[in-house]
Amino acid sequence: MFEKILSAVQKPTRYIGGEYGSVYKNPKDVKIRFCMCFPDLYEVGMSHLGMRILYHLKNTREDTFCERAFMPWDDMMEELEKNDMPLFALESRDPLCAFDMLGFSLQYEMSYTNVLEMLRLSRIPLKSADRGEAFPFICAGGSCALNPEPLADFIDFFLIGEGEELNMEVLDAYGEWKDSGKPKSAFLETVAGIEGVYVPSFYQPAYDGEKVLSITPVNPCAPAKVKKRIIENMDDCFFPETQIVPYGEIVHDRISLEMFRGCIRGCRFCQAGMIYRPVRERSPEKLLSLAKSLMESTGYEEISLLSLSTSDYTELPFFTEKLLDMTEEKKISLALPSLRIDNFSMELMQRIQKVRKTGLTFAPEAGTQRMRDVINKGITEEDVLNSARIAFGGGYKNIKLYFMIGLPFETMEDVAGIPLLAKKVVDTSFELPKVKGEKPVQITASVSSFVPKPHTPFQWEAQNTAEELREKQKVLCETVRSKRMTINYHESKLSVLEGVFARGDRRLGKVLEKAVELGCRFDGWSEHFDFEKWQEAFIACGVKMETYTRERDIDEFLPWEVIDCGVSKAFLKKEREKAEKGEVTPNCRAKCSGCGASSWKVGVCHA
Amino acid sequence: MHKYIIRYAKRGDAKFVSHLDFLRLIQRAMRRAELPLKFSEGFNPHPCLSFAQPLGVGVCGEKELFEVELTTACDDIAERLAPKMPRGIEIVEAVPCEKNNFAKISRGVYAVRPEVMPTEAQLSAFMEKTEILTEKKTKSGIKTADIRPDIFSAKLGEDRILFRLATGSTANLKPQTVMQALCEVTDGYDCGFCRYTRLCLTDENNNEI
Repeated sequence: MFEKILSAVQKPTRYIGGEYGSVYKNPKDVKIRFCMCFPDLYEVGMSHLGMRILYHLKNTREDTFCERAFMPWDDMMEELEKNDMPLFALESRDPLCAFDMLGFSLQYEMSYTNVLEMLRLSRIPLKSADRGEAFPFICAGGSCALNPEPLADFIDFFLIGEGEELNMEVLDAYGEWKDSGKPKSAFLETVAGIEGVYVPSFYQPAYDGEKVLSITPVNPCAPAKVKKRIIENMDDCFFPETQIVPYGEIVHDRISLEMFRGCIRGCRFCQAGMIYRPVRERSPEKLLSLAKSLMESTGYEEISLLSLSTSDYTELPFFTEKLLDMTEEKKISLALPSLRIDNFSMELMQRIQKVRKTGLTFAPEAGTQRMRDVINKGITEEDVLNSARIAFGGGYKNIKLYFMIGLPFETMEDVAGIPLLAKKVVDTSFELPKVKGEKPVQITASVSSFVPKPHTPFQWEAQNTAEELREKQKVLCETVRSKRMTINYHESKLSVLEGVFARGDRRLGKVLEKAVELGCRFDGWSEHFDFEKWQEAFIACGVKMETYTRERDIDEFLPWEVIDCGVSKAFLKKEREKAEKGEVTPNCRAKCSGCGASSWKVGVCHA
Repeated sequence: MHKYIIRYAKRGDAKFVSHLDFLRLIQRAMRRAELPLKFSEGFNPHPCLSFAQPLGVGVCGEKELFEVELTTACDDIAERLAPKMPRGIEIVEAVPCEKNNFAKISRGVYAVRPEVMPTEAQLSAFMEKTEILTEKKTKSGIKTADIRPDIFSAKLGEDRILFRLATGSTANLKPQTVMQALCEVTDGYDCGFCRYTRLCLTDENNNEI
């Protein structure tokens, strides 16, 4: 039957497993069957490095068989329902309800409906409270788990922070619990005592109208606050020396080598820059040895360096030099995302690409200097224009610029600054002598809508309404025109909904359930996103989106305060005040700003 | 120049891997096997590989082939390559070869295992037709084509039908199209779900390549 189903769907290799590097074990030989669940398509999920790391890590255990499951696309979902077949794991093809534990990866809020849909397709009751003793434990982790409350009704426990050690501790506890014959609650009480585990059913929120007053533990095993876990030494930390090589082309179809975690910059809008603190690097020696093993074991023809800001790696010139010696010999290409454009990086790009010149990407984020200081972007207009000069001088024709609108303290003048800056970038290309027959430059400004995120200095800010955003988008288009530039912007309604769930609380659970019932899924995919259905869900549940997009009082309790990400509220408040005054904060290497992450005494804080 | 012809089988779920994905898969497997691949010249060098007539998605292959060029002679290609393959792809052998052997491929032998077998009479009636018109989707719209000249033989087995079909660059007929036509022209026959396997590729004299 499975063969028939596969023959009826568009991309069967999404569902067959068996890729080179995938792990197969006899389920009878293991004590723990775990399934990593990614609430999006295979191509997206397999591109996520965290998922790959944890898959291979868990499979190093003799007592565990870790498999994978992804959200099926429409055609497959239809086939499953038509054939009365539950959602299955790729490796064994056993239904997900036959597993001991399912772990969802939460990378963006708009995948929450898919989490619920995957449970429904697995015929597992959505709510933890309805699952009883028979069903698998459902856990979740990833960056969105730093505000776990919107999914509190559905997830048995959350893993907060970096997963390498935490997952192993939880599996150890599970193995012991399975032997004990005790009820599920006993296991939850045990893991609630592990640093980094949040068991939502052990906490009770109190509300006052729109506000959440508190979230307090109601079980003695649960700590008042759950502290994020980090890996202290990146060189000692597990990193897979072989990775799965998918059949079909996935989004990031290459070796991903993680250079470091965290970011020294401290941009005030950026959640990743706050929640992954402190900066911890892998040594160049370790990276080179990993690169070598990965190139040999995967056969990939491309390797990409992963971090929040490639240029900030302390030994970048030495490391890239050595890495290029290796990749050139093996005829493997090297991709360097999030590289700052300066003379060093241009020389580097020249060595990498030799001839083929694709586009360059650059993120000024805001159009005026005032606004860039508000968000602590730490670059000037001259930096932007100089980078453009270097890039044009180096023969690059296409530059993509990333911006945001809807930022706190933004005026229409700041919005208009975006197309004006893009135009200035275009103008720098005219400073160069004209070469006959040469293609003119093309600038693309991609403007997204700012969404205030938990654990950032902007977590209290009001989010722009869809109408306000549309007004600003109009200004973007009308300020200045040039044949040499294009301005793109995003669906503002999607940003609003993303913001609702980003800063949401437990009361959104019923809205989510209703939305799934109405058929919402794959909300991040424009062909699927249906705002009207969402509006219907909110109305049906008597919940207002404005409750979540509103400005929060600076002293108001925030639902994600039950999670301690290592950055203190005092620091966030101070950063917010500085933002209002347009004052910048130096990067972590220049001067410590006392965010709180130094309590770990590792990485950049230790240096 | 060290040129080799590599024979392989594509079975089980691997049949769902499209030709384009398969090309990439083989390139990566060759790298994993650390074979001394010869790369093409130019700005974007890629390994010198050439494949025989592509297998359609959903069709298994028993004796498929591709050619590869290496910079030095190598006598353990198959041994090195076999463990570097994903599930369902088996390397059978690698033999040195001279010139390109794929130009002469013009036919393929296919085994079709349908849920419902046709009768001997139904299959003969089908083969006795002088013309079998089918509709074919092309870039410029739907075209009607006569597939009869591209069916060289059909033989009924116990649970499978063996077809010898045009398989090459000048004429190419998919076994799925044949089964669809068989159902369309035969009153009261519906093959149901079919499993397809290409048994071998041959030249126009039915000699295996």
